[in-house]
Formats: sequence, structure tokens, C-alpha cells
Amino acid sequence: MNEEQLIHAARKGDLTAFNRLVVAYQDLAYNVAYRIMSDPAAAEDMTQEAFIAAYKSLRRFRGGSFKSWLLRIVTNRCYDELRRFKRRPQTSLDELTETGDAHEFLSGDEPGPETWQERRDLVAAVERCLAQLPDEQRIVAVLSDVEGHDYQAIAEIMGSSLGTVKSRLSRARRRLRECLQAVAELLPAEYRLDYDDA
Amino acid sequence: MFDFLRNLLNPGPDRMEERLGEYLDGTLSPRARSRLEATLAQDPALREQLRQMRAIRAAMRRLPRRRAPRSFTLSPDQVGAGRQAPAWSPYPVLRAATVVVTVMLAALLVFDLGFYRGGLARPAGETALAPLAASEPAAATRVVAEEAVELEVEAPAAAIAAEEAEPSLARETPADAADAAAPAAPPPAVVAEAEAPAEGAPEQEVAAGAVEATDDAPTRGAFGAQGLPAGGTEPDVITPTLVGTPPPAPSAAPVEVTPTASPTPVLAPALTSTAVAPVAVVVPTAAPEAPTPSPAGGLSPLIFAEIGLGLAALGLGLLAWLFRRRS
Repeated sequence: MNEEQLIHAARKGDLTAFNRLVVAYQDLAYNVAYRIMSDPAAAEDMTQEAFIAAYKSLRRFRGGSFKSWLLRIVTNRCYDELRRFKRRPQTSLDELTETGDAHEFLSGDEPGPETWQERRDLVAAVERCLAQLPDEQRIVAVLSDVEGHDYQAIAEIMGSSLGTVKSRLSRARRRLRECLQAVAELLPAEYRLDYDDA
Repeated sequence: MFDFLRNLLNPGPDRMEERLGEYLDGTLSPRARSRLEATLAQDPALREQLRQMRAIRAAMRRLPRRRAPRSFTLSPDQVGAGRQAPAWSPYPVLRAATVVVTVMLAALLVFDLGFYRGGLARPAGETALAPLAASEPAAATRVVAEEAVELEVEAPAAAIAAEEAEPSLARETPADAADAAAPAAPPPAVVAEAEAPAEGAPEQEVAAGAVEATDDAPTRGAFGAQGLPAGGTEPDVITPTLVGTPPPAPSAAPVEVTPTASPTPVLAPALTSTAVAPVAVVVPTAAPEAPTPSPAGGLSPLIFAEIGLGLAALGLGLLAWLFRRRS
């Protein structure tokens, strides 16, 4: 069954069909939640709640991109959680070396422990600066620069206009640039905002 | 106007930064892109800013992806299988019912305030509540005074002194009763007077025929008793009443009023002796076509309907809100 058929079956109460959609999108949903919350445990909770909410409100899905609809639920859950407890995202870079993700990260183009350490420092700086952004700007930055969604998709996910998305993204990038410039001395020279997009 | 043109030609730093972002994301139009590239060629600071933005975006794109720490597939318990939101929800029905009831309530209120109650200002013949018309009591009581059998109790000689001592009672008591019956200044002709026999005289003596009608009797002894025989042959046992409640409508049966309250202490002795009751009877003039008001303190059925509709609208609205929240 393709995605449309799975959605159709799930709307009729077929939980197995919905769970196949969960398997297909759980990594994406968890990553978005993790980048917004910057806390693995909170991201796990938000992801689970988002899937439950998605199943219960599947009748309201009017077609279109299921991925955007699901990510909208995820970001709304995260945003509500951040608002509810006035919490700031946590940076948890220490876990990076304890998970399998570190291996993926190490299997980049430039092997070697030094390169790994330098990249790790850069990731730490980016995540720290990302966590300091206002919630709306962080969500836009995550969806655009981390996940690679285009403006239109972000506008659908956030329920905002294209102009709002552009201005929030611009402000987020400026804040990130200022933040990273402040910590540039901590980074290796070759990573002081000189990392060119290949 | 000139500021707008200047901003259009030379965008500020914020707008330029936004354009750089769009250039980076490849969303600029070809014309805007070529124009920006021309600007970049002449502005090293702008090129540096673009380089930093590109580096940051690349760093964010290379942030490590994380695998889901566990499976997020749902179990029937998590989603409450069998308790999924029903296809039919009572919310639309409740919402429509709330609107209908509210409209009915509004229409009823408009009718009540604008037409029904507004009709009170019309003449007595056209009003719905004729007895409440303020101009009625005077004429009505005047008729009663003409038709009333004026009774004079021949009191024993010993009671004359007591009779003379009573004007205050004669002036006060009927006034109270008349006030209650017709608050709009009853005429003196309606005033009933109590003429007390001698203190301690047996009540039966008065009832045994001591009541007679006299044409020249003072109005203070008038009773509004249409059913009383003109000759006074039928005994009446009337005891003073000073209660503010109006007497019942006149009937053929003799009126027997039980004292339910005492007047002022000064008048108490005269009242304790049996006497002609100072009862003021007010017979409303005929208003045959006018509907009578509700006996429940002037509350018309419309009021009850309005209250009922208001409560119904409130309840339906509350239910609709609750179902909306649940869904």
C-alpha cells in the first residue's frame, strides 16, 4: 500500500496502517522535535504525543502533504510544551559521543580524530546558538537549514505566511551569525565561519 | 513617497540580509538575482556576509541526524481503540439548537418589551391588564359608594363615648385596607368605619338586628357590600380587620372577616370589642374584555417562557462548548 492508501485505511481506524506511517516518519519527527527541544527525553515525549494526536485527528487531514501535516503537529506540540513550562531548549552534546550518531558523524569526508574533534566543537557551538534563538525563529531555522524544507513547506507547517517565514528565517540567521562570531575564538581556525558549502 | 523609493532602490540591512538568504536558498527571481550579484561584485562586506551565512547553513545541514531511540508505533491502549472520535458529533446539532433557542428568546423579549408591556400605556379598554390602570380605582370606588348599603349600628348608649373616641380608627383603618385594595388614592366614600358597640357588649346583640340601613348615615359607615340585604335582616358578623390585604371580591354570602392583626395600641380597646368591620371593598369597574393578569405576583406566562428559553439557551450553549472541547 502506498502512503495515500495507508492514510485512507488509518482514517477508518486501521491502527496497523497508521503504524506503518509511524515507522516511515518517526526518525524525521524525532529529529525535528529534538532540534526544537534540544532534549532527547522531551523530544521522545513530544514525538509520541504527536503521533497519538495525529491518529486521533486524522479525520481532519484534508489531503496534501502528510509529511507537512505531521510536522505541523510535532512543531505545535513542541511549541506548546516550551510555552507551557517557559523552558529553554537544552543542549545535550555529551550524548553525541555515546550514541551511534557519533559514528555516522565520524564517517564524513574528512576522517581522523582531529577533524572529528573540530567538527564536534562546531556542532556544539551551532547547537548552543540554536538553542538560544526565540522559539519561532528556532523552529524556522530547524525546518529550513537543518531539515532542508523550502519556504512554502515551512509556511504550511507553521501555518504562517511566506513573508513571516522569510523574515523569521532572516532574523534567525543573523542571530546565529552573531552568536557564532562570539564563540569563534573557541573554534579551530578553519571552522570559524569559513566552512564552505560544497 | 521618497523614502519608499529610496528603500526600494537601496534596501536596508535587514532587507538586504533577507535577500541574501533568498539568494542562498535559490528563491530569488532571475532579475533580482542578477541585480544582487551585481551588488555583491561591488561590495566586499556583502560578499563576506554571504560567505558567513553560507558557512552557517552548511554547518547546520551537517548536524548529525539522530535515529529514533525507540519505536513510536501506537498500541490500541495508547489511542483508546474503540474510543476513537465518532464520525457523528452532537456539536453541530447543539450549536444549531442554541442559535434557534437564542433567536426565539430574543423574539420573545422584543415582543414582551415592545408590544405586550408597551400596551399598558393604552386606555383601559385596550389594555391587557385593566385592573392595573391607575385611573381606574377612583371611578370604581365611587360607584361602589353609591351602591353600597350604608349601615349604621345602633350602639347602646354606653357605647357612644366609645364611638366618639374612634374617629382616628375610622380614618386610619379603612385607609390601610383601601390602600391595599387600590393604591391609587381611594376616595373617602370607600372608607369603611367601625362603629363599636359598648365595650364588652355581646356580639350577638349587634347581630340580632341592630344593623339597619339609613339614608342619611354618614359615609364613614358605608360598606361596599353589594350582596348585603338592604334591610339588614341578614345578620353579619363582622370583626375589625386592619390587615392590608384587600377583601375578596364581593359575593352574595355575608362577609366574615377574621382579625389577623392588631392596630396600634391606642386603638386596641375599641377593636377588641366587636364592632362593625372597617372593611373597604373595592369593586373594580367592568373591564370585561381585558384579560386578567397572572395571579403570581404580576408575572405573566411570558416571563416564565423567557426564563425557560434563557436557561435552555444557556444549557445548550454549555453542552455545545463541552462537546467542542472533547472533539
